[in-house]
Amino acid sequence: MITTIITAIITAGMIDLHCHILAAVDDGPAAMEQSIAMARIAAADGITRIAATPHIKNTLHSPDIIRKGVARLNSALAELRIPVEIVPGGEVYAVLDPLLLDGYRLNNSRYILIEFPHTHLPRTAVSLLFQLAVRGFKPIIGHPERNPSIIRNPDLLLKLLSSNVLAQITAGSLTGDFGPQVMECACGLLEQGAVSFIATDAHSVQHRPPILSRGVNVAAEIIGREKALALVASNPEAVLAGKPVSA
Amino acid sequence: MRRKDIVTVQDKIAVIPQKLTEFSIQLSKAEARRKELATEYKQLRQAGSAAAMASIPVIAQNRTIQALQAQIVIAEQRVSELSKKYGPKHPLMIKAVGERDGLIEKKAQECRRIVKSVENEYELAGSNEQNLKDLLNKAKSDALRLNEKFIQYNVLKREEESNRYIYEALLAKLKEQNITEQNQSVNVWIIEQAKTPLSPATPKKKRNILLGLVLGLFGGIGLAFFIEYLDNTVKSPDEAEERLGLSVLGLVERFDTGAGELLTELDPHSNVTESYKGIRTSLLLSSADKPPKAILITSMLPGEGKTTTAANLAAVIAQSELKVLLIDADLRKGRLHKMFDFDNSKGLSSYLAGIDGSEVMVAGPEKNLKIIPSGPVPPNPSELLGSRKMKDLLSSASDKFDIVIFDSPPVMSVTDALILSKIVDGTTIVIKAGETTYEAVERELKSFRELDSRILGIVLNAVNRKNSDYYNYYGYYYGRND
Repeated sequence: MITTIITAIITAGMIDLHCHILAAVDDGPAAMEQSIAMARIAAADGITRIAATPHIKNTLHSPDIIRKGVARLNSALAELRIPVEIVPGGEVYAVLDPLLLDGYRLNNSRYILIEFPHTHLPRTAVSLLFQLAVRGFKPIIGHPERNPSIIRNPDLLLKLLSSNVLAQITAGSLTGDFGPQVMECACGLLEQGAVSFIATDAHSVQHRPPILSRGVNVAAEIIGREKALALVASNPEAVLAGKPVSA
Repeated sequence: MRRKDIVTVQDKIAVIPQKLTEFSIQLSKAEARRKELATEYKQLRQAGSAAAMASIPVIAQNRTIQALQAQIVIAEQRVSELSKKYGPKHPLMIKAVGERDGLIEKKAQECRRIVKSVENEYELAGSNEQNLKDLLNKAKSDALRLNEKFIQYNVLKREEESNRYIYEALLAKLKEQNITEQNQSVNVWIIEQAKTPLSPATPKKKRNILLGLVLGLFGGIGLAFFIEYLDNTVKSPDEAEERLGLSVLGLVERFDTGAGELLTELDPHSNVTESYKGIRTSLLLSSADKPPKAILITSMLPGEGKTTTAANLAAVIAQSELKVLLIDADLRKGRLHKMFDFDNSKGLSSYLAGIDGSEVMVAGPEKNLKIIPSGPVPPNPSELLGSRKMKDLLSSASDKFDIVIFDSPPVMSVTDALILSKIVDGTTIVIKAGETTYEAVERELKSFRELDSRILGIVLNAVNRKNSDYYNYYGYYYGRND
């Protein structure tokens, strides 16, 4: 209990870069109340800012809808005095034409959160990332530790990463929510310094709620508390500020 | 006692017959002697007179008698000589006659003595014979008894012989065993006392179980790898992309077609629907190239899911506010009309043959979806599909619709799909996961490449969700796709 409180104090000011908190846009919460409940959980965990990242895959939600949703949620949270700020973003399907993606950048920075097919890592991944780079994007690869191709061969991810291409893992992957193989892959990527961010990829209150601290604790055991905290604080802070992510 | 008897018998057995012979010889000698003497005695008795007696050999041959007779003869002669000279009373005459008479008297006395001695001798011979007879009889009875005992003896002797034989055999065996024992004691040394085993020597259950376990485990793993090695079917999207050099547009998991193949109508949030939407995104919104307007859906082999893919893809594209025309270009075994439950008396074949007009196009289940069924089976499908009219149909459809999708026969059997691939913007190949081999796909891909047809990518169809991990890392926690 005390550790939890201490952790909460230490980790206060965490930023969640990947969260399906907007209501009624994707497979996240269906209504505003659920979005607020998720925000309460996040606030209790020490999260102060959340990037709303709805799926941009089979439906290209207009950036306008996202901006409006974010504004509405922020005013509701302010009214309820929940100390969490929502910023716009999106979880973008990697094969989409970069020309379509301008409205889904994280907090209007150059960073964009992308997801590869769940089934495999396309052989065109390098080309897709290049296409994004030449359009001025800085792609962040979402939950690579859950991609079957990368689980089998983590080197595939390491070859994709550069100063312009970063990786974000899911907090639940570190605590074993996706099974031992995903956990092993996540920990391995952490050890190799391939991970720049830990995020919740939360979809609801019940399953995989927006809690970062548990994942951070696991990460702290692997790479040390300071570095683990950077993955949820200074690194995402730099993203939202549109600054380069240090190491 | 018995033993002593036997010893006696053994001794006597040689003596008795000898005795018997001896006695009988003596007896016959004695008998002959007695008879001889009896004859002599009889002659002597019967003779009576001295003259008769003198002729009897015993007396006649007697030397004393013969000497006396000679003296008598001499005495007689003297008497007769004197008688001539002297009268009977002359002294010389009397002396001579006295001498002669004395001699005759002597001779008579000698004869009586001889008779007496013959008589004695005869009696002696008789008693001697009797004695011998008694002895012989005794010997005979002895011999009889001996014979009886000899029979017994033989019986005992046979018994003894057989006993001796057995005894000797046993003795030999005993000695043989002694020798064997002696030999063994030389070669074998007791190093450790044998212990009574607590468990059976064979079968060694633990070892066998362990061996079976290890063999089963490694054999099973080996077999699994071997089968995997032999299995050359398209299964994983990574491998398919790498080996075929094509993008995987999407995976569609195997689903039960019993409730209908048009899943897009049944459940808008199912995994399969999401998969078709993903394929739609990959086809139409990807950066790779200019989005295709006319798309051919085909496969290498029959039954891989061309028609299902074409219909469901057309439906999800129509749902995204794009106008879609779905054409069943499989003029041989068209199936779209069955799936959508249309009349097939008019269709693409009758349109291309110039029989029917634009009325062959019918409305689909979605607002933006129009469908042209295959129509009656024509005699020349390839010719019709390659005709000028086909191109005209496509160009006019491209004006009215955003997307035109063609269903087609499989590549392997006929050239229809290859002909169509030349007039569309791109071809999508449906591969049934775990059934179609890389060889089959690669062979047909060559035909497309020779024609310089553009291939948009692969749809990996009928993926077995249970056997693949492609969904697991996403469905593990909350059972829905993110």
